[in-house]
Amino acid sequence: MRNVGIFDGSILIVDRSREYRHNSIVIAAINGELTCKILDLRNQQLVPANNEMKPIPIPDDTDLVLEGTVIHVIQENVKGNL
Amino acid sequence: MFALIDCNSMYASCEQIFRPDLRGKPVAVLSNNDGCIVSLNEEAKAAGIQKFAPYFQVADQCKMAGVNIFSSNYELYGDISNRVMCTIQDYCPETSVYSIDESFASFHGFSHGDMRETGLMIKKAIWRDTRMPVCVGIAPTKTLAKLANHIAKKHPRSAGVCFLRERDQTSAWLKRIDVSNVWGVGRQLTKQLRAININTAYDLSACDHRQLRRMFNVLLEATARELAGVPCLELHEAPPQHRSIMVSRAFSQKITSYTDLRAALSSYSQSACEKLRRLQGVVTDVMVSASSSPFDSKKHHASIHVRLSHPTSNTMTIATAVSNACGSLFRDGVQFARAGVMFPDVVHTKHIQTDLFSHGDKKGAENLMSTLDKLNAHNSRKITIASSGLNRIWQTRRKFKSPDYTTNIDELPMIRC
Repeated sequence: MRNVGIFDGSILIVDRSREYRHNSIVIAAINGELTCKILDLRNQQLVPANNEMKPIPIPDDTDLVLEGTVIHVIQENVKGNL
Repeated sequence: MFALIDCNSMYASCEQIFRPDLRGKPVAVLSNNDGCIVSLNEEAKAAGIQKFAPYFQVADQCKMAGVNIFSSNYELYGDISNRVMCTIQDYCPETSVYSIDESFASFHGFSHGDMRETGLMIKKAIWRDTRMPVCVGIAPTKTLAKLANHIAKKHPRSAGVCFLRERDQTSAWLKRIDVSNVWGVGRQLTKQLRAININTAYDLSACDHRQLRRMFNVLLEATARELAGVPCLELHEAPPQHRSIMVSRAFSQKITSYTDLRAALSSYSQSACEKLRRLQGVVTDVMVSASSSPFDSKKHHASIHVRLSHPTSNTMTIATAVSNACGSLFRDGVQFARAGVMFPDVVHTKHIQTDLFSHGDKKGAENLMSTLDKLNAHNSRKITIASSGLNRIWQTRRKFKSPDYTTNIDELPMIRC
């Protein structure tokens, strides 16, 4: 998710109560695993920010997979200092 | 109108929040020291696992059935509980937290037509904000709200929300519920009630309430009236039942030295006293016990009753008495496997009987205890009394503990991008 400023080791602040919007950066549970993607409501899919990975289609009931919206990103400059 | 919001198998559900791979799968949580099973979700129950079963007896069965086992992680459960309570307060300004997994809320002033809707809304919001499944019971009294919650849990058709509205409908339910499920009716009372042919919640609500007072006490009369739909308890009141506190644990390894046994008992006294102060209770009687494993060749079980000079909740006073009692419990050559501290008769601070000849606790002792409780509530490293020792070989075994996802920055859930 480098294209949206999320790097290895970034800390994400997630709001579960926020309404989902088109292009929100979201946390989703896919195949039992938590993952971070961009929500494409128009095509009902989750899009990874880097172009190497393919979009993942999501069911109509988005609540089944969406865990929350990423509202802030904390970036670590010196490792292990938080 | 009151609502009771109660989490479904709270501990097991907490373990699933940051593990979406476990949703819909059987999960069981073990007690302190991984002794026995204390929380099970529906899937684990369906796999035939029973609550309070000793873990070593069902370990193989759990493995075969694919039940996911966790040690208890009270840091996590406490934090999630807080979050659930916060969401409830978004919808109902007046709430009263009753335990780690349940809270009453006043629905006073809400329109009748919307009660069920509001219940469903709260349930949905709690799931959205915390991923905790809950059931909601709504009724004109707290005792009925408790029962409504019981119905919501047992009957899938309720969709997790039960509103006991019409009297006829309530009576029909009460006839189907055993009297032992009524709030404030314990095991002993159940036996006595059965003897006079009161078997269901309905029987209790329909009998002569004044006679109940004569035969039992005012508390049971209040319970019966509440079942009949007459509110007797305010939002923050609980049925002031006879309470006891027990802290009894199996050691992670056998204890054979006097010092270790005394340290363990001293530490259990501290936990028991913390619970006692939370209930605003005091005690004069303490039961202390220690025993070997029942499977041991040299079987030993000893318990002793200690009577304090005055009612107290002071850790120092009680731990000293317990330590003194340890001498008569200890026996050389015995492999101690478990010990416990019990307060059989907890009295509310309001009802203290003072003694003409005793002086009570030292001045300032109460302040010291409340300072201690406040410090320990917010720090993971606890302040303890020195007699509980530093080298705790007997201390809690938590082999299957999940990370402190929400309270430790080093244990945040990891996400793949």
